Amino acid sequence: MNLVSTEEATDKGRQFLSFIVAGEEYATDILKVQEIRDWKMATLVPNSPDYVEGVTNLRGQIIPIINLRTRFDIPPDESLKNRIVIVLNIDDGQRTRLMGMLVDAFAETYDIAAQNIKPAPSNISAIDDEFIIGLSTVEEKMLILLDVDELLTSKELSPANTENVA
Amino acid sequence: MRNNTPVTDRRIALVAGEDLVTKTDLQGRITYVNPAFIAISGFSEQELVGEHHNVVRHPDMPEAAFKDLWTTLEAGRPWVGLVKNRCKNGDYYWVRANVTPLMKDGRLSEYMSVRSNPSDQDVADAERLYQQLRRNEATLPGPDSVKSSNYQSLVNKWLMASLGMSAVISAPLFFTSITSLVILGPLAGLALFAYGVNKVMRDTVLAGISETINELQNITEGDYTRNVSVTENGESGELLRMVKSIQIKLGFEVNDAKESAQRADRIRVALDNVTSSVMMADTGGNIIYVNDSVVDMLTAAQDDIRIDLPNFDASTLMGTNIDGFHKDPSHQQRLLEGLKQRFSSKINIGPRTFTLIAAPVVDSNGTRLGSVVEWGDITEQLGAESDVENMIQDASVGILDTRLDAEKYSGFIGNVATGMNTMLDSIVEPIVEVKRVIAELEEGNLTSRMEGNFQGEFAELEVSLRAAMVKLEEIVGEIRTNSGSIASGAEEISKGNTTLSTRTESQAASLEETAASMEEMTATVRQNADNASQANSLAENAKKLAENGGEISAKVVHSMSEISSSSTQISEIIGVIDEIAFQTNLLALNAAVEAARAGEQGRGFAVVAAEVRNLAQRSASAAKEIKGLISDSVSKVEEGGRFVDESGKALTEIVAAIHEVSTIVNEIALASKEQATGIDQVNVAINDMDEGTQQNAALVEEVAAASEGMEEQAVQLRQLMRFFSDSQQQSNRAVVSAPVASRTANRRPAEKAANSKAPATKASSSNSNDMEWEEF
Repeated sequence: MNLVSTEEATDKGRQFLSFIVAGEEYATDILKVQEIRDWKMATLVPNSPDYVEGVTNLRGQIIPIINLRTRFDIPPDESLKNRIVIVLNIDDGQRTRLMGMLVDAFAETYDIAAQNIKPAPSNISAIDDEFIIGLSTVEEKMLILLDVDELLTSKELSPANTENVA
Repeated sequence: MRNNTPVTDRRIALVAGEDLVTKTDLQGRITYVNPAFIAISGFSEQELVGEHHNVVRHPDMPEAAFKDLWTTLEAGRPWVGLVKNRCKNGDYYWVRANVTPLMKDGRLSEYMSVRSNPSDQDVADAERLYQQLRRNEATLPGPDSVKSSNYQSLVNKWLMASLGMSAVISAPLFFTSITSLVILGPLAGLALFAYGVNKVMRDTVLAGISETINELQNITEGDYTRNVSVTENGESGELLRMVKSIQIKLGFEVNDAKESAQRADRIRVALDNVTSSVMMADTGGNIIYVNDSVVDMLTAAQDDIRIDLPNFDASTLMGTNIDGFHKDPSHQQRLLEGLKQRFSSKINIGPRTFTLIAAPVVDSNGTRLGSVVEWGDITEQLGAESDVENMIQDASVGILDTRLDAEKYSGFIGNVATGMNTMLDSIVEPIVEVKRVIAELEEGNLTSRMEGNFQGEFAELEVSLRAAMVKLEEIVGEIRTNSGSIASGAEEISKGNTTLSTRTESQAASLEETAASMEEMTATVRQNADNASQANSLAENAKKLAENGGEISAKVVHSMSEISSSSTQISEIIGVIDEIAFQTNLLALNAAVEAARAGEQGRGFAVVAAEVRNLAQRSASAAKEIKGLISDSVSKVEEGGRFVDESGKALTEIVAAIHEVSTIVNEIALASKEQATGIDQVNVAINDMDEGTQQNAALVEEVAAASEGMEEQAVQLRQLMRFFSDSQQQSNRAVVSAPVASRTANRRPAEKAANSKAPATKASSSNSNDMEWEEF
C-alpha cells in the first residue's frame, strides 16, 4: 500500500490524510494539517453554534474545535474512545488560522493521483457540494475528499469565529 | 218509752172464751204467761218470762194510758181499760185488760192481768180516745179524782145544814122572848139532819151495797168477765173495786185450774197411749192407774203368771194391791216406801221374766204421793238373745244355715229375727254364688258368673268377681294367642340359630385367614421399617456429600473471582499498551504530516513514520486481540462463576431435599414401627375375636337347645290353656279346629329341622299334640 501510494505520489498526486466519522471515511489534504492531537475536553464557549465543541489552548494559541458529527447532523456518540482532533490551517481567503476538527478516529495517509479524483454527483447528500472536492476509490473503498477551508468557513460560522478568535 | 217496730195493719182476733193471763212483778217484768197469751203474742215463753211487759207494747198506745194504769195500780186499785198490743211479727190485737195488784202480808207483791175480747164499739171508742190523747186533745182523769170516802162528808154537810137551820130558827125566837119556842130551832135542825142521813143512806150507801151484792152474785155464778165499774166514789166505790180485784183473781185462778186440768188430762191420755207398760200406785200400794200397754202385756202373760200366782187376773188390776205380784209382800212394801229415786229390778214369775223400773211420785212440795212402775216383759227378749247368740256363734264358725224362728217372737224382737234371717240369707246367697263360680272356674269354665240381684258390698263383690273373670278370660285368650306366637317365635329363633351357627363358622374361618394375612403383613411392615432405616443412613451420607460439594463450589467461586480480578488487571495493562500504541500512532501520523510538509526531503522520514505507524498499529491490534481474549476469558470465568454459584445453590437445595427425605424416611421408619405395634394389637384382637367366635358358637348351640325347650314349653302352655273354656272359644270351637290343624301341619317340619338332636321326645310330644288336635 505504501508502495502504491508512493508511486502515485510520484505521479504528481496529492497526499491525503483520511479519518473516520460515523463509519464513513473522509479525507483532507495532508498539507492543510498542522498536527494531530488526541481529544481532551474543550472549554465551553457560551452562545456558540451547537457544532462548536469549545475552545482549547494549543501551545499558547486559542483555537476553536468543531465537532464534525454535529456539523454533518450526525448524532454524537459518547462511547467512542481515542477520538482525535485534527488541527488544520484554515484559509478563508483573507487570513490563515488554526481550527480543530473533532473526528471519530484517524485512518491512513493516502497518495491519490489527480485522475483518480472524481467529481461528486450533485445533491447526493446532506453535505453541500461545495465542501466536497471529489470522490476517490482507494483499496475498494469510497473516500470522500473534503475541502476543509470551505467546510470550516461557511458564512454562518466565520464572523462569529472571527470575533471569537480576535 | 219503748217503741217496738215494725208494725202492720193486720189485726189478730182473740179466740172467744180464752183469756190472756199474765203476772208481773212490781217492776213490770213478766213472771207468768198462759199459753193463750204466748200463742197470740208470737213470742216463745222463754222470750217473754223475765222481760218487761212493754215487750208487747204497740206504738199506737199513748203514754198517758200507761201512766194512768201505773198510778191506779200503785194506789192499790184495780185498772180496767182497752189496750192495743203488738205481736212479734208487727200484727196487733185489742184486749180489755183487767189488772189488779195482789197483796201478800198486807203489802203489794205483784200484779195480775186477765185480758178478754172487747166489743167492737169499745175498740172504736178507745181508738178515738187514744188518738186524742196522743194529740193531747184529751186528758184522763187521774185516780185521785175518785175519792175513797164520801159518807162522812155527806153526813157532815147535812149536820152543818141542820145546825144552821136550828140556829136560824132559834135566834129570832130567843129574841122574841118566847123562850119556850126556842126549842123549835133544834127540833127543826134535828128533823132536817134525820132527813139528810136518811137520804144519804138511801141514795148512796144502800145503792152501793145493792150493786156490790149484784156483782158478787154474778161472780158466784161463774161470770168473771163482767164489767165492774171501778170509778165510783166513796166507800161503795171501794167495795166495788175490791169486788173487781176478787173477780180478776178468781178469773185467773179458774183459768189456771182449767189449764192444770187440761195438762193433767193430756198427760193421762199420753200415758194411756204409750207402748211402755206403766202402772201407778198410791202410798198404800193400791194400784190407781194402769195403761193399756200394761194390761195387754199382763193379759198375754196371764197363764204363765198364774203358775206362781193362781189368783192373778189382768182385767181387774185397778184397785188391787201391788203386793199381789210378790210372794213376799212386806219386802216389796218396804222397798217402795223407802224409794227415794229411780230403782230398777228384774223379777221372775213362772217362766216369765219382767223388768221393773220404779220411781217415787212426789208433788211440788216434796210430799210423797205414791209410786210409778214401768213394766217390761223380757222373756222373749232373753230367749231371742240366746237364739241370736247361738246363730252368731254358728255364723262365726262358718255355719250359715242356722235361722231364727221369727214366728216365735213378736214386736221388735220378731222384726230383729226376721231381719237377721233376711240378712243371713242375703249374705249366704252371694257366698253360694261365689262358691259356685269358683267351683266352675276350678273345672276350667271361665264363662260362669254370679247370678242374682245383689246390692251394696255384694254388688261390688259381684262386679269385682265378674271383672276378675272377664280379665282372666282375656288373659287366657291372650295367653292362648301368645302361646301360638311364642311357638312360631321359638321356631324362628331356631332357624335364626342355624343361620347364626353357619355364619359363626364362616366368621371363624375368615378370622383364621385374617390372622394369616396379618402375619404376612407384619413381616412386610418389618421389612419396610428396615428399608426405611437403611434409606435413612444413605440419605445421611448423601447429605454429607452434598454439603462437601457445596463447600467445594464455594471455593471454586472464590477462585473464579480471583481469576476475574487478575483478568481485569491484565485488561488494564493491555489498555495501557493500547494507549501507548495509539499515542505512538499519533506521533507517527504527526511525523507523516511533517514529512509530507517537508516534501522530498521528508521522504525517508515518512518511511520511518510509516514503519512506526505500522508497528504501532500491530501492537494496537495485538493489544486488541489480547483484550478480546481477556474479555472473553473474563466473560467465561463469569459464566463459570455463575454456574458454580448455581451448582452451589443446587447443592444447598439438594442438602435441604435430602434432609427432608431423611425426615420423611425417619417418619416412615417410625410409622412402620407403630404399624408393627398396631399389627401386634390387631393380632391380639383377632385372637380375642377368634376366642369370642368360638364362645359364640358354643352359645349358639346353647341357644338352640334353649329355643327347643321354649318351643316345647309353648306347646305345653297351649295344652294347659286348653283346659280353660271361655266364651269366645265356646262359640268358635267348631270353626277354629280346621286352621289349628293346618297350623300344626305347618309347624312340624320346622320342629324337625330345629330339633334333630332330640327326635324321640319331640316325636312323642307332637304325637300327643296331634291327638289333642284331633279331639278338638
